Amino acid sequence: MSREVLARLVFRLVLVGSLIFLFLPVAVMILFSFNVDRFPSLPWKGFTLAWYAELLRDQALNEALWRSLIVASISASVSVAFGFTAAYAFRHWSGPRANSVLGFIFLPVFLPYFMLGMASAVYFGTLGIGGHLGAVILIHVVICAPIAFAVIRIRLEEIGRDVEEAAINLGADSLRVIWEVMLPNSIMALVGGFLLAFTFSWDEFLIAWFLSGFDNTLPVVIWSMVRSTISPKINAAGALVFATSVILVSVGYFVAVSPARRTPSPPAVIEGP
Amino acid sequence: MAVQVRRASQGPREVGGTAAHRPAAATSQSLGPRVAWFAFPLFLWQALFSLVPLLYLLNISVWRLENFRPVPAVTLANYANVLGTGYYWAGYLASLQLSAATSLIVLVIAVPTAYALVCHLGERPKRVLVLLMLTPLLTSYVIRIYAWHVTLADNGIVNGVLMGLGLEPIRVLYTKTAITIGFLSYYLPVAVLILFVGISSIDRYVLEAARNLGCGPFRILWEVVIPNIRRALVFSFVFVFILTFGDIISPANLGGGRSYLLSSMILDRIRVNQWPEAAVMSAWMLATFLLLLAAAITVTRSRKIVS
Repeated sequence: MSREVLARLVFRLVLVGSLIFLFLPVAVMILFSFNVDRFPSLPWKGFTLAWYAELLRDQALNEALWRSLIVASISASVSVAFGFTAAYAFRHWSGPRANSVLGFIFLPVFLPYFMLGMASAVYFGTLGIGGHLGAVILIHVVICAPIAFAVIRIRLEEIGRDVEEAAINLGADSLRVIWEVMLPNSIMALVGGFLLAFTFSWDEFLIAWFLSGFDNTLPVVIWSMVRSTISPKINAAGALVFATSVILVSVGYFVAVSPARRTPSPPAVIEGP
Repeated sequence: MAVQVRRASQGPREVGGTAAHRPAAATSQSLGPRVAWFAFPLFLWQALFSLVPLLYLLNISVWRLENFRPVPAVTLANYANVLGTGYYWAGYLASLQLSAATSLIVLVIAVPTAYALVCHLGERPKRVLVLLMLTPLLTSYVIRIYAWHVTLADNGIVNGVLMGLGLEPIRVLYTKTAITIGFLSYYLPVAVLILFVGISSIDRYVLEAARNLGCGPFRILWEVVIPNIRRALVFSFVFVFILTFGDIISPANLGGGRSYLLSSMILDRIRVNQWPEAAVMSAWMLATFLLLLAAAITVTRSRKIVS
């Protein structure tokens, strides 16, 4: 029995160790964003918000922030639209051909962003449409749509077939089924999918670096700052970007993915006399 | 309108029958072929903006470079140049080695972590910890790599603590160890989540049976869990391998200025506008990925037959 207690302890230690490993550097970064000292080293010199104030005054960062917000909003909206329609298709469509289409849709997820960014940069360069935010959005949808699709599909699978069937029997055509039955029932999953897709686009660096030209997004600007200097201002920017993602992810998770929250299917649709 | 009338007239007959009790597959059967078109926009998008650019890049690998611009041609000279250069082979081998080592380290840590998540926690803490594992994947990789940079710096907090304890400072930054640490900060949670799904799908009764028959947690992990998640293991190994192989963020930031990995060498080629050679190296990388995927599929298939 004591061996079992020991084993439980070991596994929990590994788990806790992994989490500490994942969050320690971020905690250090956030901590030093409040440090008076210019250099991120001990001993602690005192608390200040000066770096955040400097951040707000930084023109390049502010412009990049707006670009990132625009890119992420549009990418996420398009991704949700594609994700929803595709999720509805795969609700009724199965078999080998459906599986290969499904695999094809998820293929870019297995591709290093580096390669996708490079390939699209050279391709768009030839077409003469590279080097601006639109190009970034086109490719961000490629990586964000499968994520939105996956989240929405989980929700659609929870909606009973009988509900849809009833709507069809009552005379709704398939567009109306989608618009009046499926869509209202999966609204939370759409929100969750939007938020997850948004964070992926918001944080994505490599593709934006290859494609954004002179209209750099926030991760690209932060990257070039990181490469050139060590400044507590970057710590502050990092802390804010991290906090934004955490908030979006948490909201998305509890809204859409968490099994704790389930909306019942609309009742009494198929109840006969 | 006409459609609606027809449907309405059909309505009573179907309701009078056993419409409500019809097997669910019936809806799919009637809707399937038509509804399949709803997947078309996404399919088309992925084809236009991932497959086509990739094929275009591969195509450029046989082009010629004239005045720093790729010009259409069919030549294997770029392949000869790249594959005949020892420097690139050294980079390729270094990448293979680093990715293989990273993927193994990831698995060694991720398996017990995922096992602890699934089997040794209550429902509520489990949900919170899964969310915590998910967070690193959805927060900026660049920023987390930068955070490691700050943490591992020569006068950073790790060395500050070490020296405070009277120990020798360590020099980790700008070594392969630092690159691996950077990789782990992103790909460890990826593997944990894949294995989490794998372990969660093991029949709970099998685990309980093993427990009732007197198996300790270590033995359950080794003799019940691991044989049951072979596919997830192989899959996460391949996934981490491919993604680290094509990663330039951690090498560029934590590995110092020198390029000794294939991915950073591709980047160097792009900086001097040598797109055809960069394309050759990408093709080389893709071929490696495909071989690895094929090997993984073969391994999981043959093992499935045995078990």
